[in-house]
Amino acid sequence: MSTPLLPPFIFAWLVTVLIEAPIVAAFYPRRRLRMALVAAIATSATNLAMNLFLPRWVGVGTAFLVLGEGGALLTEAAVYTLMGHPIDHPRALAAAGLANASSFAVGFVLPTTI
Amino acid sequence: MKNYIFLLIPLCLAFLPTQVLGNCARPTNYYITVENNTVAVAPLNFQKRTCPDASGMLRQNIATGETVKLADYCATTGKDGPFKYSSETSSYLDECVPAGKYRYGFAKPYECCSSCCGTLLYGEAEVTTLLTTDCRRATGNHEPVATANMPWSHTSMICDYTNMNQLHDGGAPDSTVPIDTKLASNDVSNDSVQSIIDATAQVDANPQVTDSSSNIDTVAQANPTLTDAALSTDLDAHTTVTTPASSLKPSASSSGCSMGGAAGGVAAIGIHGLAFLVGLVWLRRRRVNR
Repeated sequence: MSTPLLPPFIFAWLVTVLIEAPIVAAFYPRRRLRMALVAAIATSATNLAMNLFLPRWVGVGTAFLVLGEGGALLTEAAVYTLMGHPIDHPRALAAAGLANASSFAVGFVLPTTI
Repeated sequence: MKNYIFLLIPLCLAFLPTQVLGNCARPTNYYITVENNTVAVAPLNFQKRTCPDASGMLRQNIATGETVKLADYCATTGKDGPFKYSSETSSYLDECVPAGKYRYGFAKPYECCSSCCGTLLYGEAEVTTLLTTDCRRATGNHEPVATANMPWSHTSMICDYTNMNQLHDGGAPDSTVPIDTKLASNDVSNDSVQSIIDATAQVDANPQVTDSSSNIDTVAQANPTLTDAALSTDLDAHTTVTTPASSLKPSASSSGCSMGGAAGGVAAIGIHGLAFLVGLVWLRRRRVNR
């Protein structure tokens, strides 16, 4: 078994940020850079919390996926709502939904092709 | 259009031919369902291992440590089968199982899937129905046979997503592995002690075996400076170990690993998709109202 240069969760975190930050930024054309940064921070927090801490509490089964992904979605949507002046709930929800769906889909589908 | 150029980055990343993943994939484990005295074990993995598997499926009684190899009797446990889940793979069907707690897993463990949310050695099942004398197996489903080949160690996790917790090398030679079990079941003969010493020698000769920390018992782990002679003495002391197998709990991170298959993935992506759609509809209605 080969040892990767970095632990997979680091790669996962980086790729998640790279996928989600541009998507969120695209939803906020007038505050693209600011929201990209906000998304990077929020996604970092939720992704690392999900992959490093959540498995200790709920294992790695369905509860992990549903609680982790659902929690990440709500947390990120709340952050985007608060940071995306003026407060815009639907935009934040749509941004968080598409960003998380995209990164999850990539993570879920890729292992079947490699 | 300029606003959406950012979206090209995730699109490009999606085609990276590596194991760099945005989110971890489902665990590589076993989905186990119990109905009365019948246990169905569906291997869930990306390694295309299913029933039948070349190495065979083992069942270990957690209380006694007794291990048997199941017959290669497979059933598709989809909607047409006796169980509701796992139409994606065929399952080992273990019939007429006495009441008790069991571990099920391949004799040759999974290889570590570092991009998965955990790779497990075995899954656990509890049969609560008392076995009646008139229980009959299906034709072709032969009675399990006892086996001494027990490749599992004290934890169910082969490796986890962080790849920092490589607890078991799925491809380790058999002689290096069953030490914990033998000590736990107090079945430590001179041969067993010799196998421990042999395994320790393999650690010295092969650093890669050391990486899979669970292959060698705590003796070698905790005392890396011991010489063979000292180690032998130390192992003699271990022959009086009385730890029952039932006290060997899997790690906490494996507690919820019995599922996490496609259903969890669909649910998770459904949540995101729904949120996205709700947000879009909400945005659109607001625009119309304005």
